Amino acid sequence: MTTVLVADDDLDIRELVAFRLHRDGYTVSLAEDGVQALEMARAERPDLILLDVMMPGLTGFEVARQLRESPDTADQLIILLTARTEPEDLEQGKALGVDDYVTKPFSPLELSMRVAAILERSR
Amino acid sequence: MESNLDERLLEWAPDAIVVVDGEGVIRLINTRTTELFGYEAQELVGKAVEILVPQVNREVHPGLRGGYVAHPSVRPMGAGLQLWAVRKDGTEFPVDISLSPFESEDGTYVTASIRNIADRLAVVEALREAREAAEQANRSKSEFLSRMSHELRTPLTAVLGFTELLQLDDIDDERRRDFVQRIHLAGTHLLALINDVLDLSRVETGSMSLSVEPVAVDALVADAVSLLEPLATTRGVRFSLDLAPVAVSADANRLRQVLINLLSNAVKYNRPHGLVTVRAEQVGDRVRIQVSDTGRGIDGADINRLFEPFERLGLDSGPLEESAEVEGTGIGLALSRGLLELMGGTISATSEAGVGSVFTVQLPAGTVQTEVADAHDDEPITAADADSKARVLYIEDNASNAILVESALSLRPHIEMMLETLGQPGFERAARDLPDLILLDLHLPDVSGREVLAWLRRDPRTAAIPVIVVSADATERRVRELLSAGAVAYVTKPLVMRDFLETVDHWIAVAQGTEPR
Repeated sequence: MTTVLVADDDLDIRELVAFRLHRDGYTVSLAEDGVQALEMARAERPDLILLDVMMPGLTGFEVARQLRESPDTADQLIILLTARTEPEDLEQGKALGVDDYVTKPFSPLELSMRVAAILERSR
Repeated sequence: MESNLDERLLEWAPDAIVVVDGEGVIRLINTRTTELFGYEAQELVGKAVEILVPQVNREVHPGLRGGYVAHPSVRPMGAGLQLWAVRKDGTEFPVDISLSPFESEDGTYVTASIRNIADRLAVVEALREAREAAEQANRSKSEFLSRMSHELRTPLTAVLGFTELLQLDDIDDERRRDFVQRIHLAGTHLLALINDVLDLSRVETGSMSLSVEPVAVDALVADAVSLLEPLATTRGVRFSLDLAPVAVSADANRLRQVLINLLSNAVKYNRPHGLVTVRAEQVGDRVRIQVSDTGRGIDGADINRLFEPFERLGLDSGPLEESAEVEGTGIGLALSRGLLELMGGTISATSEAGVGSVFTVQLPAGTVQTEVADAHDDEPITAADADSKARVLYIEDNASNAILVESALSLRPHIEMMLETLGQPGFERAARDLPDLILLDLHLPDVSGREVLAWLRRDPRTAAIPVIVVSADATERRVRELLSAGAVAYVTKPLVMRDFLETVDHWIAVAQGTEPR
């Protein structure tokens, strides 16, 4: 059973991604902010995290950084979801070593294909 | 040595010139020096040059001077030193000083040209500030665009994403409806955002047109409160109104927009079962409207950022965002401030952690005609026959409910409202004054409203007066019980203002015989 954690403060985005990924056969869990995302990532050790960048409390960048810094979660697969498209934002994601970077608006189908590709690659 | 120098040359020099000997004694000065330092010539010549040096540097100066004389060289102006001089009156000023040594048979002399550079420094400082402001504006603009992009892209993701899902073949009807609903709400949110951004842009470019007129504050607040009652109810947040009968000079629609924004923030960022207080009072020729909440408050350092677009400081307004229609655009406070400033008003915020925040609006006071509440030209004033005065008795112990209803009834200028806060005196007042209509709360401190209703129905003096129950208890059993006990209508709180007024209009018309039951 492949598990995916979806962290986004926007309810619509959570529902959208959860619906698509659930349909693809993944087990999906949801986090509403960065703090919750970090806790769930550590507790559940999902196969992949879809992480929104602009979340209240703890940004997606910050969550990714903390996961990378801890030996237990350093290899966590992470796709950043973001509405920020400036080059410096993309650079920051790259510097954190995230596995992919998807900008909003995205097609659920395209997202689902990227998820499959990343999970496939990591096998 | 004076004879060696062309004194006229000295006088023509644009700067103050001071010639000092090897011991640091002033030997010669020009007129510019006396003007610049405020001394007479004889007060300076023959004195140690330190008389012109500020107190803080006076002790180290002879050492510096001695070092220079030991290894003299020309030092031009603009050497990058931050030098200060002191006038006779003790005031200090920034100077640039060039030094040039010359040898004579008496030893080494030094000519110092001294220029006051206060003006130049002021220009430099002004330029630096201007550049910083421009850079800050540029950063703000980029930041605004970046946030705008985020705010637009998120609902767009929902619109495009759910549309894509709708095209899947195997989606059941219930899901389909849910997706369509979400697309609709995201689209509505986008529209609200676009409208707010356009409004903000109009405010900033000065192309916003306002129609400023006297506006009654209580009616406008009541209107805004009634709009937000449903949201407040889902969060258990209550309103408390403390409104003096004041009027402001403002654009009614734009002020309502501001009030709705402040009230919806006060509800959204409140704690569950919190309180929102609205106060209005006149202070001199201004009217102050304050909206207070009992939320977590805002950090002092952050409070000024509140009025910047997209600064959602209390971003985590709580997990319950099921009512997406009321989700803010993030521009509300920036827009509110802009609108108020156009109306000659101000807005400010104070906050205390754990206690709550207070938003204070100040506007010029206005005088309003009592016949018409200007804010409500869209409200039908159907029953307003000027000569058919109607008297309504409201029996209610809760002050904020009383004010709310009073504000609502102020939209009906022909209605005179009487208030009783207890059941027994309420009944007695009804029997004595014989109002056209009675509004009855159920939870009274002395006797229950149910009991008061029974008295009213039993007593021949009051038996014919229609009684409308106004209660937050909306259970069907309760409604049926009161209606069968003789109430003509049962209105539930939160009041839907329009329905409430229609019910009141109808039963007054019935009581006055102009309309059948």
